[in-house]
Amino acid sequence: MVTPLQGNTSDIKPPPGHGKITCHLPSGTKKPTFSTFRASYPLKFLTPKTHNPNLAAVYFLSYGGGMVSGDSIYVDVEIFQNVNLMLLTQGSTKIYKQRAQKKNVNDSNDYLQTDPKNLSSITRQSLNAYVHESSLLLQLPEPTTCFRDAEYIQSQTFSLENDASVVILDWFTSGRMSRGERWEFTHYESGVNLLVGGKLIFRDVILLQNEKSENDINNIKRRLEPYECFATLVIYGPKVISLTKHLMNEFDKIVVDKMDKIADLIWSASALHIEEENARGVVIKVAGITTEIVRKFLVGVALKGLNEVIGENLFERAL
Amino acid sequence: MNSQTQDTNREDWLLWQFADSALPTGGFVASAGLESATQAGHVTNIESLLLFLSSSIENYAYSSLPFVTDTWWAVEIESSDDEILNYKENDSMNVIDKIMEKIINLDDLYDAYTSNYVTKRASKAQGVAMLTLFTKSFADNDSKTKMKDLVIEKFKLGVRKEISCGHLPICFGLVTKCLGISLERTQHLYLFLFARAILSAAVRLNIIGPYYSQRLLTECQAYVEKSLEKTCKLNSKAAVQTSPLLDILQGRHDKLYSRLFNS
Repeated sequence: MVTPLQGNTSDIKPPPGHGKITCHLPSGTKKPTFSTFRASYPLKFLTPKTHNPNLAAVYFLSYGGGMVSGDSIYVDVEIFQNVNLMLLTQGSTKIYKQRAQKKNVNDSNDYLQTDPKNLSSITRQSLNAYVHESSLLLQLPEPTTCFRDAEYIQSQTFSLENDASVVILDWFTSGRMSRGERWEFTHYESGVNLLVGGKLIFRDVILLQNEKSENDINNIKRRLEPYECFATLVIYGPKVISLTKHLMNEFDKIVVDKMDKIADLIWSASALHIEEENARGVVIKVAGITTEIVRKFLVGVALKGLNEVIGENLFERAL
Repeated sequence: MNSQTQDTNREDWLLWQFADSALPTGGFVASAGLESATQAGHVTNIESLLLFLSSSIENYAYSSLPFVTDTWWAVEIESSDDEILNYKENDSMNVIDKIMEKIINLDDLYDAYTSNYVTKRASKAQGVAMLTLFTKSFADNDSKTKMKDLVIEKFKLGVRKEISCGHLPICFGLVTKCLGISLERTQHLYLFLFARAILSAAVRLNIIGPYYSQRLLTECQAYVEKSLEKTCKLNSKAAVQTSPLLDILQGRHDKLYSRLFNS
């Protein structure tokens, strides 16, 4: 049996930008304990008080509230049986622009052909999570906002044991809208992998690239207008099966008539991992004309009922 | 005529057959999200149709084409070695099993990548149609001595038994490779057929007429070339989606109150 190791692990300093969290529930208690909880500059973890049984939460913070070019963050998370762990951020993840002198990429078209590890000037964030059976991991960050000329790559892999559950929210906005910046970043890439019992059941990678050469036409903007915020939400596993069913039902109710005007918010739902005609999860994709309209949908529709699992107050704090 | 000229002529001839709209592959029921995009108000005129075409083609080249490419490479049988008699008894089965394993892995990966159930459904239907086309129109059904025929036969059985999904890019790469079509032409053909399917849907949705559709198909060549430049060397693990909006629109297809197409 693992015993709590709190306060015992800070002596091992991980490399810059690396963090590791391990969380388990000591037998006979309802209070999850972190056996590993460490992060190195520019990454910082904070854990707020939680009152619901089996629930813990961690805020991911970065100094200065954003990431600049070359910043890399690598986080490993492992949660053991019967833990519900929420991963949160405070405010949106801001990605600042690339410093011109550090740019060592020959040609922006080469990203996918080149080993990404060599591109040291790109801002990157990577999360590897391992979720043991009967536990639930909730990845509920604020949206990512890439500023003008920013280059950002994010990659998240969630490995679940057969009876584990996850809620993964991955969302981004068009940029610093208050300054009139819309889709002006250079490179945004975000990937989510979901493995269950070692088998990959879901993989989604979005790539948005602005090629500045083309007579100043912003192709991302043209294609995504009028939407300013996009979200992918993956819900999977027995602990969130009622949420899965609720969302499939909500989506079934939709009937689209021919529109004269583009809708302020649209969403789609697809069943995930269908076994014997029952979906074990659902993938929701959302586009909205503002971040707020997407947030409202997430809180009011897509994640409705989640508060029963995680406690209402914390949920409001999350989004 | 020497045999090299014959091979080239045969490849050309097959390409014309593939490009013929009479080819029974069931593509005529797919609009690749155009019907949904039109009803949602995103495609209203020629300009927005062109934008839909260019972003759809690019998205398809980044997300689906890498699987065609990888499958084409996975079928490692040289034309000269196609006769089963060239192999020792167990060797031929080993070669086929090895290819089968690779293809099924690619099929599984594409399935994990394609969460959108409308896209998934359309891809499976067109994939199976492609395999049927090979068996009914191109395979040597009498002698059963060709390795490539056996590979496709075995994969088809795997799809029927639901061991593999039978997605379009996998089946397409498999069939074109087995017919001896070069990788470059396979890639071109794949994107050409995609562009043509959208435009043929545009005609039936009454967005444009048949003459204008041909004009736009000519313009699509530039989109296809531009996309291929960036994606012809991508492998399946580097596949990405470049238009999150298209994905949502296509995912809403079944919610349309009235619709002509299946996707």
